[in-house]
Amino acid sequence: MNRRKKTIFLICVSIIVIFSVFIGGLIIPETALKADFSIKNSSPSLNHIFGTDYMGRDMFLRTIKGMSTSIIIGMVSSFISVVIAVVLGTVAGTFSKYVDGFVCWLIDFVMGIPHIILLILISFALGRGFKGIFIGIAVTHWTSLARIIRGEVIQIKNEQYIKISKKMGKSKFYIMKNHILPFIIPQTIIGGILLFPHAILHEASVTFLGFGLSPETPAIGIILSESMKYITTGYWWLAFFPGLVLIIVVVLFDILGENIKLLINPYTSQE
Amino acid sequence: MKNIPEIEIENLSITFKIYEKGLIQKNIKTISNLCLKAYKGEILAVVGSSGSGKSLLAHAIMGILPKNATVTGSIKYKGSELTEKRIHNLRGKEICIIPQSVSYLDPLMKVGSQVMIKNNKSCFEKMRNAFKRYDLCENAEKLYPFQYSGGMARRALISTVEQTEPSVIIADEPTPGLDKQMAYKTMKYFRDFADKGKAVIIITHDIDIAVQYADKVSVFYGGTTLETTKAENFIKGEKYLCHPYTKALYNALPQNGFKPVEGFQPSPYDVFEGCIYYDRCDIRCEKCKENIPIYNFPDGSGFVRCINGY
Amino acid sequence: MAIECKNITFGYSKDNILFKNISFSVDYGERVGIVAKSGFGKSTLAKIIAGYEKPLSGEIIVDGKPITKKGYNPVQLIYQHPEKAINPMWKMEKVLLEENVLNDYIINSLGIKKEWLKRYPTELSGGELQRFSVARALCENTKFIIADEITTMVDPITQSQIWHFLIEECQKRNMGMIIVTHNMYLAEKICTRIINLEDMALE
Repeated sequence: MNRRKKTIFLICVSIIVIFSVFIGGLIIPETALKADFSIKNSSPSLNHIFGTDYMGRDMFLRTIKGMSTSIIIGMVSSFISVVIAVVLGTVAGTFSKYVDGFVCWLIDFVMGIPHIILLILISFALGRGFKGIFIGIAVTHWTSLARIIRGEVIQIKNEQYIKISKKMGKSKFYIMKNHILPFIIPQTIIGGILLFPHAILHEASVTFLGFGLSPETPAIGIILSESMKYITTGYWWLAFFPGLVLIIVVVLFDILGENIKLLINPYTSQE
Repeated sequence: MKNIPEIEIENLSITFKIYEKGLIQKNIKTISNLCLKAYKGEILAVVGSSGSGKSLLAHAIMGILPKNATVTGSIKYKGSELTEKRIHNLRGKEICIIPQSVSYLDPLMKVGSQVMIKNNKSCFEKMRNAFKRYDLCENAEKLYPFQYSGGMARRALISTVEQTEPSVIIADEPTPGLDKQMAYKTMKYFRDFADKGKAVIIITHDIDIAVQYADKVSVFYGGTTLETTKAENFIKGEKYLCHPYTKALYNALPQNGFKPVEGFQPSPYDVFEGCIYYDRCDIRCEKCKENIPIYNFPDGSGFVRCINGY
Repeated sequence: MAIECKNITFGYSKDNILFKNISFSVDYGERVGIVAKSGFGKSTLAKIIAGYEKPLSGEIIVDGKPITKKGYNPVQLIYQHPEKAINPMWKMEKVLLEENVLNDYIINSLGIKKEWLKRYPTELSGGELQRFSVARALCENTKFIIADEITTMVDPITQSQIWHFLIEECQKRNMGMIIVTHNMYLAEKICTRIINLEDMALE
């Protein structure tokens, strides 16, 4: 098995696992999560592999559903982040000094405030719920990618082949489309994928702290914060399994991003 | 003087494993059956067509090839095999490489301080002396690389060699872009190194300048050595050169007729049997399609890889 | 006079002048070699003539008019390092298509192999890439070629191939050429006239 096959194998595994969690969450009906007090707080068994909670709900199903919600949030908000980053990054790199100065100031401004505080503020101001989380995460996560793209654009703009293209009478639009964009697209895709775990973790932590999604949504943050109440009473599975699944999904996204990076990077793609 | 060569390369082949399409890998042989010997006190000029694997050779000796390269054949240093572990210890100490241009200097560091390998008194002294010898004023050590001209940068790069006492120096394209006077001066520095008993390998396109100072010339084409001969033969004239490619190279120089040769150098992507110069050769025959043996010159000064050349 | 350099002065600041008052002109069909010692600023001058760099004072006039910033520049510069002048993510075919010079005549006479067109720049050697740079500059609208050490990094045989083709093409199309080189033998062989910038700077 050569390196490229291994990389593609890892990418496929990550995608399959993430995708099945996502789809699984969508097809689990609400009725499956009905309270059944006869089996409340039972430890993991063959029937309920993650155990059940204080209302007798199956923790496995709850976790999958919660993860699915998190993945949707991650996807939407990292997509919005990437769009903001690409637009601002290219604009800063292409246009005048003043535009660049403004964008850089904006990046520093957003980066200067701790993520979590800004996120809580925005989420709270927008009345919590999905809208607050989406916007909160999107607004706080674009900065580092925007900075990378700006740097790339500035660097590539000074390449000889771009200057030659200009002297050959090619328009700004042509150069943007044919020379600059193909160069930043791979960076953007990787940046977007690596934003994912960040977004999910931040969503979980804001929800955990009680500023994010409402308690009735099945979200991983809600599940974790609930389980905190029971952890001292010895119901370890309530926190352990959902936490583990969260970590696994985050790590899978990281593997996905890093491996795509290896494939795209010309220095490592031949190994 | 039959001593052991400092660097002896025998039948070196370098193969790169690359992805052809999707997941299918294929091998391309960029260097094949390459032979080269560098002796103490001599300058060996490596000349030849661009893309013939000259720089790759330097990388192979230094052990800095990319991961997807496989090396077969042998590289010997002072008579014993140069293993990966050994080159790791020798690199930068006994075997030094002088890179091409300013871009190899750290732009954020003063040149003086990046020339020193350790920040101590003896290194500083060596740096000072070297700068003086290479006509870099005292001021120059405090300048940053962007304030250097191409010629100054090259001299600063050469001065790095004096930090340690290497026995082998490899210089990658030390003269292009320099005017004649400067180029001769640079070559003179290498002559001094050789006269002090070091083995010098110079990879260059400027054949006319190199042969004035070198002892031997090794001619590369399509990833292999076609001929190694005394440098003086290049000055004496065409009929002292053996291989048809060497002759063509000689005749293509602007001062010797500026004669082009039809055709292309075979690329590593083409599979090849027999003489690599077959397509462009004017004295080719049926026998050239078979394996070409090496003919050593009787005085031991070199060899030629051609049936009709010698 | 077809291309005129009038009192070109260049420096990085007013106190740091590289060269002063360089003036000369080149006619159609002429091949003018420019020589000076290393570090004089020959490459910078080449960039100024092709409009890549702005002089502190002076101007470049082509056919009686200053060169416009927009549109195809009739003065095309060929660089010393082709690997920097060609987009590493493009197939060679696209490089030639960008300028619409993908025709058999140019490809054959420059010694470009058909298979090379399907490859990426990293898979070709410097000498092979330089042929593409030369081909690209030979677009129909080009009236002047400025060659900045274009064969310094290639072997003598390739050098000879490239120059033989360029000279022939220039004569056929009646183009003018400005050749920057440090190799006097080469300059004497290919140029119709040689200008030494150092002498000019002294006057």
